[in-house]
Amino acid sequence: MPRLKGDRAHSHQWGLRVGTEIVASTMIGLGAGFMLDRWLDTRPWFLLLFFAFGVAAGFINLYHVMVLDQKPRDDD
Amino acid sequence: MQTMQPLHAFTVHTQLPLDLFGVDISLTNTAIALLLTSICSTVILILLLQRQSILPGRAQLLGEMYFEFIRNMTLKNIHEHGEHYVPIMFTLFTLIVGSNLMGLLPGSFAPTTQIVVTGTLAVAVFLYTVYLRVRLHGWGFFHAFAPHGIPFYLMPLMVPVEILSFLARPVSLAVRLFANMTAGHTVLGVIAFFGLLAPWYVQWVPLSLSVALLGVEIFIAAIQAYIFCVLSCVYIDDAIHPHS
Repeated sequence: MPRLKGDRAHSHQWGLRVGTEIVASTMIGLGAGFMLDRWLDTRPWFLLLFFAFGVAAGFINLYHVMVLDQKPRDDD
Repeated sequence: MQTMQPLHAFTVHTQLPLDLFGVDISLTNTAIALLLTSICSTVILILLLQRQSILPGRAQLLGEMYFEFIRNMTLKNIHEHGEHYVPIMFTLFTLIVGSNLMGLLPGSFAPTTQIVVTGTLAVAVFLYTVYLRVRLHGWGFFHAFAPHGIPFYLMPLMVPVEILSFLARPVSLAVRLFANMTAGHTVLGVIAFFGLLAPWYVQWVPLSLSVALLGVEIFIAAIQAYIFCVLSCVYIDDAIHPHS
């Protein structure tokens, strides 16, 4: 999972990063749901399902950014 | 006075219509700004390193410090094989920081305010990491989507979420750079317009604010290029060592 290694990152970087992680995952989820719905003609079920998946993916990314980076690393 | 159009500066115009066997390859202001950025950054780097000596002068020192900064960033974020990726990260960083700074020149245009430019860069990095994963790990590439220690019955829930979080990487890279640059330039434009509209005795407030904002913009231009390159390095490292 992506995380910033090395120097302790600037808080400005974190703020910018965290916001787009959630937005990007939700956008991808909505896009995938919309395409599946159009293909299988099942509107709105896949849109709703993949919206939930997208938000969950965003929060998973957020969790990894927030929690994994707090752990002490032996590689630095 | 002309109507305020803060997003007018981001319109793409065709400057030189070109046609190659029915394919439209016209030079737009985005393409010209990108070309100018490449030429300017190359010329500046060549000028900095023109007179090389063992005891470096100011110009050489500046050039070497710039290279060392990007080299250290790459080596810190890509373990073991970091040295191979220094040239591409140097090129990427120079192009992005040059494009960001290009937009701060009066009458100029920042190519990174176009999502097509940031998206192309992000998708290129993403496709390269996918290629690296497939080349180094073959079918093991797909194990990354099934996290360790997850019960079997949770797989239908976790696998789509992991795939979505993987696919969100290029989108997040592209949107972050594009949104920050566009927002910064729009704010600069709006504050400058306030300065023009205000009566003469308060004009100094928005005008001095726009000078301060220009300083912040220079800082953000460098920070955004840095974030883009650090995350590209992290994604490449993730492709080389998927379970680290």
